[in-house]
Amino acid sequence: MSGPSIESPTGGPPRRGFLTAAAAVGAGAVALLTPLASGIAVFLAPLWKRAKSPSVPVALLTQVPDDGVPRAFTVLADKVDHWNGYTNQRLGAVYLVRQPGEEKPLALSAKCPHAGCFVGYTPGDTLFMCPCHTSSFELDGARSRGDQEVSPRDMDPLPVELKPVEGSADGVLQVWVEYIDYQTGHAERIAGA
Amino acid sequence: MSRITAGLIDWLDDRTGVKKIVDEALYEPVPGGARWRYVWGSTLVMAFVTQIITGTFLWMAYSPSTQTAWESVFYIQYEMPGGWLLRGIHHFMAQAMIVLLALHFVQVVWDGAYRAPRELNFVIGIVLMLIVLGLSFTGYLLPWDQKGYWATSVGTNLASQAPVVGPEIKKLAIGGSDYGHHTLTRFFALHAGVLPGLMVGFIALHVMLFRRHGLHAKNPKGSVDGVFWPDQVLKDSVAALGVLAAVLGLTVYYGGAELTAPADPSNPYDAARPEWYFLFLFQFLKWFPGEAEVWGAFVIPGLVVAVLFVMPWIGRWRVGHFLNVAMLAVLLGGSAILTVQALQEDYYADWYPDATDDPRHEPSTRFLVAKKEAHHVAERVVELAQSPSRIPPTGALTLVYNDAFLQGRKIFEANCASCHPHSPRDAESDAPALAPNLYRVGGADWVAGMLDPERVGGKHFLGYDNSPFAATVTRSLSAAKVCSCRSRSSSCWRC
Repeated sequence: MSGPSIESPTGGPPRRGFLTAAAAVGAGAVALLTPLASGIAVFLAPLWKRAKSPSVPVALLTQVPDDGVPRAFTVLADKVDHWNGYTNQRLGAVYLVRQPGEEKPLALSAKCPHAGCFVGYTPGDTLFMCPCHTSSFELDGARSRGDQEVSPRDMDPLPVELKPVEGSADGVLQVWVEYIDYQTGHAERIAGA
Repeated sequence: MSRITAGLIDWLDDRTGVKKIVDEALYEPVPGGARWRYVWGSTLVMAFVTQIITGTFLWMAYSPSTQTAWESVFYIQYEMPGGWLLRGIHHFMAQAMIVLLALHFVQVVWDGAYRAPRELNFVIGIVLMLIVLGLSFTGYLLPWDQKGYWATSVGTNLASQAPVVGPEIKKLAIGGSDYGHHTLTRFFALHAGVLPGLMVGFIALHVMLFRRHGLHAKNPKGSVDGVFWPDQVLKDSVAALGVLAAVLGLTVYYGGAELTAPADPSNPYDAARPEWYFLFLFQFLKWFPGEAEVWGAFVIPGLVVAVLFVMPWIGRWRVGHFLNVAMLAVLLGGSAILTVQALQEDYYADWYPDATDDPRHEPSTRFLVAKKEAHHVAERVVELAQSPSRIPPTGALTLVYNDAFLQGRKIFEANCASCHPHSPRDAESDAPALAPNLYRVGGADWVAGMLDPERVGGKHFLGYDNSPFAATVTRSLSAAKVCSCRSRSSSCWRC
């Protein structure tokens, strides 16, 4: 029958009782913590996966005149979503800006460093505008109001390379961008969002 | 204990009465003192808690749909660190639960622990046993592999034979007329939500009634009475550790739970079998051909379960108790014999390779070949799924159907083999040759044969039955051989 009919030990437990209790707790803990540990290892799996930053062609150089005006281009690349592989998926977008006389354009990720919204640009404007929390950026990606902006850092510049189009005899150049998906919300750039 | 801790405990006790609850839980009287024979109920609770823990983590990585179930389980098994271990513990602990349940049940009946006032708790125990079997049945399908798919298909097709409402029951179980997305979502909801929820509720009732009536002690006289904590808890914990050790041993030995090839509704799997603890039912059904199957699938099992429920009332009399024990012995013994019989029929060709005249040999060979083939396909699909292009969004079955390595033989067998032989050309065969033998076509022996005037006209090449080419080709190549070796004439195509 249940109930406190048998008094629990009130004084300090004898040595044998203590060892028995410790062994009981230890054995029981191991029995249940082992499956828990294997579950936690699986749960933590995303932490050990490193995100890859694909280098992809986004435009022909002729599509980016050296007039200092930003132009948006879609980043298409093969994507792996855990067990599935997808070809030619839209990963995001970049703005390419080529200043007068410069050969290589500047590539800026269109993802806002604050919370990841798509930073917009209207032709003729002098600023990039984020629609979510009104961050604004100069055309070189710098925050227009410095630390007064809600965005913790400037827009993210991405590595750019110019390569001839494969199989092209007349040396037409393509703009290749390494699309690094930086984490948002940090002042420093942390790759692998 | 520091004054602050003591103060906190007092505060908590004042608001919740926790001390009394803990006291009642820990200082449950154990007549005759702690014993190993009392551990089975506790180990079952521990096994169920393990299933909740591992199942919750598996749930975080599992995706129930026909294009993602096998794929997500593959990902757990082969890509996630420790995933094979987690799945293995869940799989083998489920089997351990069946064994522990049987031990617990046998002990309760043997000891007559179902007698008044514990009848209701025994009934709850039977309900719990049915829930555990339900969990096993629903969990078997979830990987959506050939083994689970075809075994469940057999189970749900049997359900459709239930009197009156059978077809409706099947439709409700699989979520429509065909097996598909909703079969998985329904089975998953039952496996991870409804049944565990019921299980928690009934375990709570079971433990509550157990505490109310106390432990049914076997011959407690002569021993000093004890309390649950810490002596019995130590025994329970050590037993739980032993169960875990056995489960871990099986998991490591088998490399985790098996994942056969992705479910393919258009490709029947001859080796589809239920888990070993349902094999006796599988074998039992062989006794009931045709329309009589309803007896083997519903009427007799239903009657047996009904009798289990009324065991406490049958056992009120001494004779009734003996009847119960005898019935249990017959049930368990019969199940064991049927299980061994099922295994023997399946593995007969393996165990008795020379007994080819036995009628069990041929179906056993078919079972073993299907099993080996499924193993081969599973290995290949896993290899393809691990390639850089991964699994297409249409699912892993697409990998199976687009792989020349897996499909070549099947396509040949389905479309070519009725005319083209495919066996070594030096092997004796009386079979009529209706077309060239395509054994290792394009290989060195085939090329040498095609260029040999003496062989090319033979039945393995162009001289098959009613061939329109044999005479012409043999003549042409004989001429070529003459000019090549002797005249080197400029008009010869080889020169």
